[in-house]
Amino acid sequence: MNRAFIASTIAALFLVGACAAEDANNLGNGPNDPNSPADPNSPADPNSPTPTPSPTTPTPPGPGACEANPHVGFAGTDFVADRKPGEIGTNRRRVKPFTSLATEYKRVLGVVPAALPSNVAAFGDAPARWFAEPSEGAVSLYTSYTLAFTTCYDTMTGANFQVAPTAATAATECAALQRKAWQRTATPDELAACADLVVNGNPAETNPRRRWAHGCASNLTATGFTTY
Amino acid sequence: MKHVSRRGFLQAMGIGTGALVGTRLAGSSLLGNAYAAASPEPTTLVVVYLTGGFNAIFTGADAFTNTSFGVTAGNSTVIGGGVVIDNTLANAIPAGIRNRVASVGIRHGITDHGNAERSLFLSGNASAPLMLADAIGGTGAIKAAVVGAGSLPNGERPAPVNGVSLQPINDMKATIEAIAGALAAPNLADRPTMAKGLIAARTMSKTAVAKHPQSLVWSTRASSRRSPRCRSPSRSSTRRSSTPPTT
Repeated sequence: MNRAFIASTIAALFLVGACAAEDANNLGNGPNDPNSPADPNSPADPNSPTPTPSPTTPTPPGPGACEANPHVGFAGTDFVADRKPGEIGTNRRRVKPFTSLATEYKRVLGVVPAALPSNVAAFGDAPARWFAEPSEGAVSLYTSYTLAFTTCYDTMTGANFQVAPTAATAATECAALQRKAWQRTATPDELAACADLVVNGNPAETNPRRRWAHGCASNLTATGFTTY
Repeated sequence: MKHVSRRGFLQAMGIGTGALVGTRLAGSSLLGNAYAAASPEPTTLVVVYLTGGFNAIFTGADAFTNTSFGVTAGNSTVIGGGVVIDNTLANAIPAGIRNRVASVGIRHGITDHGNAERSLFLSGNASAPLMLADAIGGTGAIKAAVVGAGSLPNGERPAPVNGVSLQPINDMKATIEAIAGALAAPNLADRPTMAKGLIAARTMSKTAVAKHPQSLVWSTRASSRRSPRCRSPSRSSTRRSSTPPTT
């Protein structure tokens, strides 16, 4: 009996290992992949002039490799015949559910926005024991920005946020915030968008903290934070 | 403070997901569209989707007059244009607009209930309500809205039509604040800079939206199904030899 159990266990482990390898190939190495150099835990900086090539970059599958298994019904119709193979790694990101936002804001800013619970309806949270795929719209994004701005302003009390931003300081602070909020290093374009907003968004603003808070809120309204 | 129109502000809120295409955000003319000369009045198409269907006596009672469900000329009303509906509903519609009510029947011929529901909102592969909202034009900040916690059948989020998307309205308080703006305070965002912040956020979201257009912006019937699993080339080469690949 023990021998049979050990043999079945080994067979099961082999199958699990085979599936895991296949899934890893399917996932590809997106910017949020833990094995990707774009991951914040990776020592490789994607913005480096000489980025380290990823040794695990997947090779796109050949034509037909991603087609579904045929499921032929009684009438001889293949129910999955009209399924369309997609590109590796595309259409995988989803909007974070409202229930995750409290911990997400706290992870990035250290506190939960005080007005978050009272804005649950703006995000269309599903009732208890029901599931609804989260989605975003103009109203929920407005709410996200306003919640983030207030919380950013209230928490950006450091001396570095009491002085008007320069191109250099904006780039530094934006890079740090983006990496923390998005859990990956921002691309040069993303970094430039944030820095430009902080420096040039409202140069007449006399309260530097508000300029920094706008940059912070903008990062927390981008898909890097609102989706996963 | 520099004036930012309500519509322009909402247009600037196109970040990445559903709102990217909301209120004519697609394309490069973000704020350009906001100030573009347009129709003389703000217009919004509101879709009220009633899960569970609509009783036929509310849309075409004459089909049953003196034959079924007790419908008679006495308990139904001819409201004009060939539309005959139940008295209760007819009385709820102001007399002045009764002649503007249309009853649209759709002969979809689909036996799959879910797919039939979905087809009610499609014209070909395009969203019929969004085509209508686009054709209406106007200057509405939100040009097409689905109101309430529910959405269209099967949770559909239709692809935008010429930049007009279906915006979910789940909460009127937040919606009013978005359109009217909040009070001024040091820790409250000002609208002009906020509009720029949202534009910046859209720039930061550009790569993700381009790579995940269906899962982040809209869903389609195809994407709502289970994703096919990739198979090794050696296995896939031996199957479906008689079935041409679909595209």
